[in-house]
Amino acid sequence: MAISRRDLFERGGLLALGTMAWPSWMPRMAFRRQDVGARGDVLVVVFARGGHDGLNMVIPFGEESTYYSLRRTIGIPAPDSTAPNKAVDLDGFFGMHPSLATSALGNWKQWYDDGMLAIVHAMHMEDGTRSHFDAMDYMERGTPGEKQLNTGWLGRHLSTMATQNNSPFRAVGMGTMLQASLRGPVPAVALQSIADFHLQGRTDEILRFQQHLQQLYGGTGWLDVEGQDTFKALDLLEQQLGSDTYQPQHGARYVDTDGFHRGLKQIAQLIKADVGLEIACIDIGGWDTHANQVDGNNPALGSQANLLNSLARGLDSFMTDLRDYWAEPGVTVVTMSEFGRRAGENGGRGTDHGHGNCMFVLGKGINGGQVYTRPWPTLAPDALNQGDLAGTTEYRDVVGEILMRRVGNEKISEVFPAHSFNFLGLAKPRDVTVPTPAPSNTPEPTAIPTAPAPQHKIYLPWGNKT
Amino acid sequence: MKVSRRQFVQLGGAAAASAAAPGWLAGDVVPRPPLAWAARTAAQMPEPDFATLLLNRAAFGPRPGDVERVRQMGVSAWIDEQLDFESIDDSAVEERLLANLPTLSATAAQLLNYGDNQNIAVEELRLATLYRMAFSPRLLHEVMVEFWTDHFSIYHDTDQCRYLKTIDDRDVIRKHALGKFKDLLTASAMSPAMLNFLNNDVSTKERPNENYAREIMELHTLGAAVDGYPYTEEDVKNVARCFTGWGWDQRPTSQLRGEFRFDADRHDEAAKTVLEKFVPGAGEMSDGHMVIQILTEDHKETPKFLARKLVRRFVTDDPDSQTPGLVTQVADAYTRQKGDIREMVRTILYSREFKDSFATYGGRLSRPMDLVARSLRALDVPPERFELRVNSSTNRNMRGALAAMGQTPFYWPTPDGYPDVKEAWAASAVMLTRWNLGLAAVGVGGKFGGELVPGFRAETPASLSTAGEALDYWIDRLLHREMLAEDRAILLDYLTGGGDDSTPLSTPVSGVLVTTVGARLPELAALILDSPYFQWR
Repeated sequence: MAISRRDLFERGGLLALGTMAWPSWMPRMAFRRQDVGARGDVLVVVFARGGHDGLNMVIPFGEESTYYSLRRTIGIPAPDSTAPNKAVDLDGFFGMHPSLATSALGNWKQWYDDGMLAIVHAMHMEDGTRSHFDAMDYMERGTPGEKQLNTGWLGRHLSTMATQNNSPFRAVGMGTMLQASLRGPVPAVALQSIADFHLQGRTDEILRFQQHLQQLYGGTGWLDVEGQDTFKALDLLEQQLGSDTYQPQHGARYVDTDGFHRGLKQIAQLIKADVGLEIACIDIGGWDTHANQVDGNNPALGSQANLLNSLARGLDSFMTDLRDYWAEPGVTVVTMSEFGRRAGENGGRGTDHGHGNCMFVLGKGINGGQVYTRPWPTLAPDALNQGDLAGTTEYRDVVGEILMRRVGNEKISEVFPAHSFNFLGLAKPRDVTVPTPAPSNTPEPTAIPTAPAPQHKIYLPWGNKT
Repeated sequence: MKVSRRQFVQLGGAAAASAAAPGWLAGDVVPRPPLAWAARTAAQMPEPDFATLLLNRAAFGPRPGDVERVRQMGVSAWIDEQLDFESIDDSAVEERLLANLPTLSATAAQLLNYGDNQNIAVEELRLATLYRMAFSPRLLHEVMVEFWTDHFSIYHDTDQCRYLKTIDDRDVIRKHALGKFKDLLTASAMSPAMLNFLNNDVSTKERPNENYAREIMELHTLGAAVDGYPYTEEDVKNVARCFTGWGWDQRPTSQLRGEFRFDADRHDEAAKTVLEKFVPGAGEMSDGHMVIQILTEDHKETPKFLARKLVRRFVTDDPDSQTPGLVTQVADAYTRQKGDIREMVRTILYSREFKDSFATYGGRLSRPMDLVARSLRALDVPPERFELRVNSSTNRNMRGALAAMGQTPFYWPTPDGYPDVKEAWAASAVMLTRWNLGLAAVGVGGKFGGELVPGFRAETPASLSTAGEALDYWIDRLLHREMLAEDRAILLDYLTGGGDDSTPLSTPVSGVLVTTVGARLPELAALILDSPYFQWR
């Protein structure tokens, strides 16, 4: 039944309701921009599930003797090689995988050159587990080696921000299950598809159905309140995103068959619709490249290259699409993955679970154009951590700095308890005091119709509104 | 329910002969204790009667006729019958499952050889699980299978668990769900899926892996440690040493591939101390078994931990503050009956706290899988219309709905199992999916199982011709209890568009697809399913 919700609204009104309108007590605009309070950048956290191979993404080609001997068949050729596909030089020591870098593919070299993309290398998590399960669990809890706290780091971030934002879309996890990092007292929405975020039924009846269902949830009980939140979300999306046709801007090149791209596009829609989004999480899977990570004939092609292209082109599209929103509300993207992979390749043109990795941070408020390593631990045999790239920057230093400087959280020690921070300086401080609401060209909604004190189960016949 | 007449008589006899059932089971009027809930949940709803409550919590909801049957036979007889689950004939369900889903009866070696079709075992087990929840006559047994599946949670998407969980489900969880807890724990400790999920299969005397050792105490028996009680980090290390060598046969050509295997070469034979008890090392698996004995027979925290979780499942989200006395009684039943799960469950279902639980502690929010099963049961979907084929559109849509609600079977990534408190299940998108499930289940939402449901107009007895009669019929059929007058009025208004009880179902309305009041009955049923009345159990 391909009828947009707005059509439905209008047709439903005509067909079934005659002149009847929404009842006056129904919250129409419970969320308003000026209620949001102090707000920083919208933070988008990309989790690459499976442990991506940082050594083949940002290649230390300057360490020629070790890198290429550890990775005889899968090493990405240096920028000065004669190979058809090769690393793209960043700073004379590190090069970027061509699937990330080149303009026809991921276009990240441009973001890097423009100073909006920062790379952190030899990034790691303090706990050295090589188990996907534990590593993801620890990283998303934000408490490496500890499972005492049942909240995620973003969940704690949300609960430590003194914001009045009561939008149901304050935190969104793309996908079917909420990311563990979002667990916490502030409700977050697992969202698969904005277009499907509505009640599905026969067009003749669905609007009346929704109105009556909302009355059934009209009380003050716990489930009534949960239900009302959902109606609020439905209502908000109806107002802001009523149309099913979304046009990306500035020539963004999302690939619609790619689930990661579709998710990013929906996050962009939510940001543009100003529904109060603060945090979005999105996953990209498939990085557990134990075998056939690279093509047999060309190490810069193959399964890892395809994944990198999806990752890079997706975020390239996302940032391009949001060009008008870089400054206000501001957007910062950070990527992470549970661990890196073995420094040495295995026998199947692949890599096994390792440790140190790379991480990307993208945004207008980022001191980009650099590879941050302090120091580069090298791939020398005695510098490796059980055969893997060692870590010199803890991931909490990176995300902690972003939370504090870009998102405006002053309590990062509650977000990451027992961690002593050592910032890299990759984020520019942002003044996150409440901006005076800019005059808007859309009329302010009239006073929020507060529901006349929770009237529990009061029967309001539709035709007999007062 | 296929209980032979003879079994029925015997069951009734057994129940009568067992310890005298308390008066409230028979419906004696006993003054109600004061209301005790802190956070309002379902406070204003009329409470369900005992038979309905029992079927909502000790089964996955009633099918038409079930409530009447319980009322007729008496709740204690029903509880005893269900606890004696082996006497209930479930062959129709099982035969249909085994005939259609071959991996259910496969050996571990066969399952591991499904390599090319990796997800077939996963998909079939999910489908079978929902089918049994919806259609097995062993109602309480299925509830306990669900309970222990969470207690011994194994994430399907882990290494070899996608094959081995099928064996765990069959030979560990289903086999012992109403048996002795020690047998269940022992079977779980020797379950290749568990050994694989919690990494005991890589634990060696040189490099013991503590994952299973920690969880067998924290999640399976004692509960989380606080300040070194009930166990210390030293205990975790030593339990890990006791279980070194417990693994499974991974040799590709072995006849016993996928079966439990003890590897003496990996086992740490030194003596250890576990929970202040001396565990002699020599004797291969004896120290692992001794750990299980300490945990299930000696330690006083295990009965309490299990009792608390069971009381939460049946009575209240917050057993510690709401029903501490019942928790103690259930723990005592464990101790007195040597870990007999049946007696713990019987203690709960026979208790006053259980009987009064809805009104006293509030409803318990239906979890997504429960909601799917209860919808299928309430709507009386015939089992034979439920296609047992993983690629059927019903299955795909049902899976999609469960995924959107966050409860794909065997898909909770951490070993603590799907949460069992309401707060975990009510994010905005999840509520919306719940509501769409109701619409889909009655066949107007287009997705999930609409094809399963007979036409609603046809299902409404022809003798009912007015809106009021049809409304009361569907309220009773789906909820088996009263609604508040205000809520009933909302439904009546939906059905009639401003009319009253006497509005004929044949009254025309100006829709394209919906041209009479009676044609709104599917949506009416969905409104009932989507209302808090059905969402609370």
